[in-house]
Amino acid sequence: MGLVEQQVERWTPLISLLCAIMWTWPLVLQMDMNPSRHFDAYGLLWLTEGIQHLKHGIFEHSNFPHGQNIGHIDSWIYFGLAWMCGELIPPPMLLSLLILLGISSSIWMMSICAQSWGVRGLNALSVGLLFGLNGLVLNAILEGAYYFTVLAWLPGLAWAIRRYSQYKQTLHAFWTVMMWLGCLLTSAYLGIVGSLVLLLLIIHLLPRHNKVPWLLSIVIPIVVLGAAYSIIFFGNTTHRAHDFIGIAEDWTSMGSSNLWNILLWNTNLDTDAHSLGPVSNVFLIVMLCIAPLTRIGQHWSVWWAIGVISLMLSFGYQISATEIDQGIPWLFWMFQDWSIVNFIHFPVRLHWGLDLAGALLLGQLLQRGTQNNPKIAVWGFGLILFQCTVIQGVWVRQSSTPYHTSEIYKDLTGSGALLELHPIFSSRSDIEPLLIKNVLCSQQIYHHKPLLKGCMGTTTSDSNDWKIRTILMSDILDSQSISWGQLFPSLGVDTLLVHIDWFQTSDAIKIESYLTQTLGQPNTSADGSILYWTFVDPEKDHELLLQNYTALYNQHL
Amino acid sequence: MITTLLLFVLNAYSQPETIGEPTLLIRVLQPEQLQNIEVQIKRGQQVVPLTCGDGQEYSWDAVEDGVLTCAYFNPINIVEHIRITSKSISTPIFDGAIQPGTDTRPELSYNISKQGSRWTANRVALHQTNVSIGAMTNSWEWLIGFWCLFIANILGWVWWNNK
Repeated sequence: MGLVEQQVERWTPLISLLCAIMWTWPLVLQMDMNPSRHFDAYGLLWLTEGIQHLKHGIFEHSNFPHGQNIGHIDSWIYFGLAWMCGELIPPPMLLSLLILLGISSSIWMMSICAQSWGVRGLNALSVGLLFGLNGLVLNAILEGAYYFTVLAWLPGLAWAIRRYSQYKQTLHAFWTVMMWLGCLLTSAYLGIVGSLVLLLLIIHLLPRHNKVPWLLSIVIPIVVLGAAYSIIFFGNTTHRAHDFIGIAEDWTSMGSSNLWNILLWNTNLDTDAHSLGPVSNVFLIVMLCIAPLTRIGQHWSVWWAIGVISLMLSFGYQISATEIDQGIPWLFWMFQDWSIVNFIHFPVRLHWGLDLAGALLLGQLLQRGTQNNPKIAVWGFGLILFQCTVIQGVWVRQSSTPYHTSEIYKDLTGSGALLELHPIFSSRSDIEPLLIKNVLCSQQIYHHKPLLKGCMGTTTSDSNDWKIRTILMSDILDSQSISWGQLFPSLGVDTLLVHIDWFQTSDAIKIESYLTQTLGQPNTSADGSILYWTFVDPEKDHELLLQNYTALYNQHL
Repeated sequence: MITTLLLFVLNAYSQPETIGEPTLLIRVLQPEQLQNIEVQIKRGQQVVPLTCGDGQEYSWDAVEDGVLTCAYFNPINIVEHIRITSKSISTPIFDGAIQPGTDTRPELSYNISKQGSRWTANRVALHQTNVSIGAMTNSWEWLIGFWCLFIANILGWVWWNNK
């Protein structure tokens, strides 16, 4: 290995960080801003506040006064991070750091992994870029699922078991288990991919002698940890079940690879629930096609198998031309009646296996080519950089949105609950209700008051907020018979905040007029978009609060 | 002849559903604009249309009385969000609650809920416009197509020259 390549390997961590900064620009200059446009980012922001009020598995300041079950946390890694850093680092900055360090560590770890499998120097960095800046990571940033940038566990797993097969040291067995656990705790999807990669690599790397001790050093801790995780995971009822009707393939159609988004942009990107596209890239697909012909190195077959299986799984229930078309029944179709796979709403994320395997196959090809023509490494790096930036349309996807929506939230005082009145959004998709719910929940990091909204999960119509808003709206628009000035304190509510500019004009006039007549003159935000009323001495006795809510629902719902 | 046959087939498929008892009946009094009214249940990201009709040929309706009766035959949840929409209207309907205007699909929304055996419908207010997050609307098919061909050739060349 030449001097230049040694320098490249030495500087890989810094180059990885620079790539992450470039890819997320101008995030590094605006760490308190949101680089996404999607509703999930605000949900993550809320979680940093929600964790501060978590007792016995219940978020006490969400869906007040009943609270909300912890349910299925998407990422326990992020949960732990928010718990540890929530009071040390401002929550918006925590999210920004997570993105930058997540991408950097993924590129770096993939480069180390590639080196352990025989790809060196600039080629290893190219492999790191192709993995760390993959399409699903870009989608994750756009969608606000920032913990999906932390993919370093997957190449870390491939690195650790490779070293374990080479040196047979307990330390590497330990790292293998830790990396697998990191995959599982980052996301259940990454855990599935990690398990698939681990299984096939164990079969491939199983030594000829002393198989049993080698195997048990990995398998025993994984079985114990995996069983514990599964008991917790499946022990929680899914909070998403209420959102969906129909059979499983209906609601996973938007969360799967299809023949369009595998390489092309989805023309409805970010306008219809989720941002999927392009999922894969031409380097990975070409390597899957030619790897059986090139047969480079002694490990090509296992990586090819991982890549093919991963691609097949990512199509989910059907192979279709686009996300809305009917397609050919596919792998998940066989398991559609199994409740155990019902949590897989996004089979597309299983494509991470191909991101890992395809990048390593490409690295082997570039390494072979570089031996005869060193310029191939430079050309390969340039083309991959072009793919990850221009072809992935990085700059088109970049956004810079403030998390904080109104100064009013910083002015709210008192320990009573906050009820926010806003309209039902009439779009056919669920984007707007979720966006509104998550944005309003995230403002809890500024006012710290209990919310009637159910901030955990993606259901928008089962919280106390939904029910009270329904009764309040109906009373304002139709019957006008409830004495809200007395009722709110008995429900523990000390602030009613109305987003008056979101309503249709005719409704807004009725609402403002009736509430002013009933509750008195409101306080108003500087731009007049928000009206709010405060109430003194809200009820604090928890049992009495529950009774009051039950009585109200019995009377009006 | 072909047109007649096509009309016959279409007519056969458009016959009202007569199987099973409805779990939800919604009666909409709007005799002038029956054909424009749609009633739907909205659940999360899904919208389920109700089957509507007026007259004896619809098993869930008794007589033709100018009241559109909409039926739903599958199980319903304790809380549902019902939407009544009209593709286009020329005069105010529902006591002026829906006005003709620039919106091509005005709608009323109700949250219905069940406590014991009692059902309640509460009208809820709507936002005035749809929100579109909108990031990317160009698919770049040609650029990506050429790029794929280019990369496939490059990788093929690297392999061929290093066999």
